[in-house]
Amino acid sequence: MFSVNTNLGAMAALNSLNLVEASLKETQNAISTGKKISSGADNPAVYTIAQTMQANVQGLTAVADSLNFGTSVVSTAMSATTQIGSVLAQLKNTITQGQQTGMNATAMNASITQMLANINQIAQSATFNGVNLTSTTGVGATSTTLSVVDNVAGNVISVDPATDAFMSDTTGLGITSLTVSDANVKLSFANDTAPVSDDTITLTNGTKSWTFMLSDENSTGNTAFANASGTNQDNSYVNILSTDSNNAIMAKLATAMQAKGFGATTSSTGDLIVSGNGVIATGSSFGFATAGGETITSVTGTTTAIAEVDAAITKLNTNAAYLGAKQNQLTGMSTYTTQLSTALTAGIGALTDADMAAESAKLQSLQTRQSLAIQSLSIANQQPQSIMTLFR
Amino acid sequence: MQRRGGYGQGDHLGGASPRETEILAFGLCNARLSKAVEPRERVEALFKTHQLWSLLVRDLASDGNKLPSPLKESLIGLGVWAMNYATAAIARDLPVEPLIEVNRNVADGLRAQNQSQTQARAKPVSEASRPPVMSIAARA
Repeated sequence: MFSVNTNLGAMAALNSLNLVEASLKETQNAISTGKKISSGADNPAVYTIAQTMQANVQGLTAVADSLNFGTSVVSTAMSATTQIGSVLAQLKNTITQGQQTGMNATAMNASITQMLANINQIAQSATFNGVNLTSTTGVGATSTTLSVVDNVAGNVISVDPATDAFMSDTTGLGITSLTVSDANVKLSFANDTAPVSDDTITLTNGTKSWTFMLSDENSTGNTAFANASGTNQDNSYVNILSTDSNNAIMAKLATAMQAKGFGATTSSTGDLIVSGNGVIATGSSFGFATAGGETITSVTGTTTAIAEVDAAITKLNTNAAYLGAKQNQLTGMSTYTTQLSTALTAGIGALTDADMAAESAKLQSLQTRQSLAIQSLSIANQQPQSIMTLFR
Repeated sequence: MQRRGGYGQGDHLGGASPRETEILAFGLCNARLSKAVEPRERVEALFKTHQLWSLLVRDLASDGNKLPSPLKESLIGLGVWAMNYATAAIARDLPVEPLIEVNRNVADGLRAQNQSQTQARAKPVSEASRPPVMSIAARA
């Protein structure tokens, strides 16, 4: 029990403190950790924060700020991708049902357009303090990348979905102008098709071309080929083995095309349906040393639209997995700051496990309340005006 | 909140004393935490709470913060916990209730100061202005 009887104000504070003790007891009963936290009354002798420790607290706080900001941004993006995933599922469902019920193309396209607008709206509004990881045209966004300082040494975790995965708006997902009337292309191999190294497949939208070279060579030649890319010519190579079957090569091609933002899906008949980037059959071609019965044809309708949505779902899942991995990385770093803070604030280590110590934190806050009540100072008495900046 | 002149603390913004500003800041954080429904509102409330504690911890750990060391230590400990908890809650959807309770207790401590100082200069604390913990005591 405090012994304070000097003035009316102190007596009032004491009155309040006695009442706090009752709730302290309640909280103490809730503690099951067995960790003892000394009360304000029997707190061990003065604990002085040394100079080095002060510097560490400042550094720790900066890292904690950065991690919290990063976690907030990534979490906002993850919420958006979850919502967009629901819209994509709905989109696929609409097209599938439209196909089954024979809904006319105009009506179906109107529904599709509305859902694409929803996707963009969700992606564009997922901006947190100027950073948007889901859309390049985010509302109020000035950046689509994030750099999080992850320790006091200044190491950085970078989050850049546009480069490392995909953005989650319709542009990033490759379904900007999706309709059931889209003309996509179908790549078919015949029995006599025999792809070999240096064979090429070129896809075009009439302006820009993407050339995929099959290659079992060393990377020097591949790099030279890739470097020959220009504004309207995108070269890339697909590593194959001489033992690969045609189906295996088709699968590798699909992966390479997806990496370039195309939707590429193997159909039930073993053909490759390619969509996205405005690809058209006219001008798209095989450049095979030994021509066989391989063909590129134009296909339309709900089946290809579904293939495009499937490709978009694959991209979205890639992005969600990327964001999830980054979030885990950031959370892992929070553990690091927790360990650091344990070292810095000896004696209150019990408070530093966010999950387990909520009851301990509540108890400590009641004790702190007692101690604060007999102080005349504010908490931030060095720079009291800083608090005001938070809620401007 | 009653606005009044300073207490010899130096800066006073918008007529509020530094303690009143801190009480207000905790109150605003708690209002946002308790009202958040959408994931976005929740993240923003937790982000703001983190910012508040971060500012407090920086000040507490800076040279010349005039609070006594045991109290400083307690507040830094609470602050580090609150920051870690806020970040974990954003990433893993933990309940915000423990943060609200910690914020409220600290704000109540600041409020008790206000009351005792007001009373020292004026009339006794009225029943209505006593802290909510009264009800707990009445049960005990």
